[in-house]
Amino acid sequence: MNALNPQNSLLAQDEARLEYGRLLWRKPRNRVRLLQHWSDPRHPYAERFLAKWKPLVEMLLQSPPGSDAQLDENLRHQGLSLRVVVREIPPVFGSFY
Amino acid sequence: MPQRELHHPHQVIEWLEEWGRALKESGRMTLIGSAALLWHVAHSGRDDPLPDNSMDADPVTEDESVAELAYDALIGSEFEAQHGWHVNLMPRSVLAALPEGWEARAFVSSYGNLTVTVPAVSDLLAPKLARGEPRDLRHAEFMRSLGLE
Repeated sequence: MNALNPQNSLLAQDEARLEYGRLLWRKPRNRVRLLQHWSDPRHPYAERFLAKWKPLVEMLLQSPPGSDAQLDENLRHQGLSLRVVVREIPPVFGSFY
Repeated sequence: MPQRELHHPHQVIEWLEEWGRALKESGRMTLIGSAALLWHVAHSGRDDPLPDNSMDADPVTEDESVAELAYDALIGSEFEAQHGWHVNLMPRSVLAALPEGWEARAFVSSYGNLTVTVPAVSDLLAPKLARGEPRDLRHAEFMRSLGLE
């Protein structure tokens, strides 16, 4: 059953970041704000996000919720998985969001 | 100076009223966890504090406008500085851990533009009792002592 729903293998925290990241991503204003936050030098993930994960995280957040199984399969061809990329969605820190 | 952490039922109600005023359009969320238990205490007309403070409130939403408010109330936010606790959005899947048919037993209340669904006390306590952690058991006992289970 989990094979058809890769979200089942996500921790609740990661699942929330994917779910609400997708929801906020729909509005350009939120997209800009999230990208600025994640790229902020104060953000501990910024360097890693900008160097490697930004395109994949953007792709993930643009994708519709029903596409997770297909996304997971595609990512596995690249030696990745949905779980790995979801964990690279940087957290939001309220102090400078 | 705000009260630190989430402790009293009136804190939950004041927060819901605040978000109901802040929302420019109608929004919905489901409240679970300790904040939902406090909501029930407030709903019964009491303001008895939780036996253990909580650091956060756990809503679930499908509305962008509510999620935006929640992202401005995450850990470390100005919201947390003002209120002494933060908001921790939970994924929709956590609702699947509630007993079957919980929606039919849930309470629905409106605060300005915000409509809040709160599962029944017995449904909120079911996953806590299944976990059986001391804090969860104290919360169950607290609700029982108020005659709210």
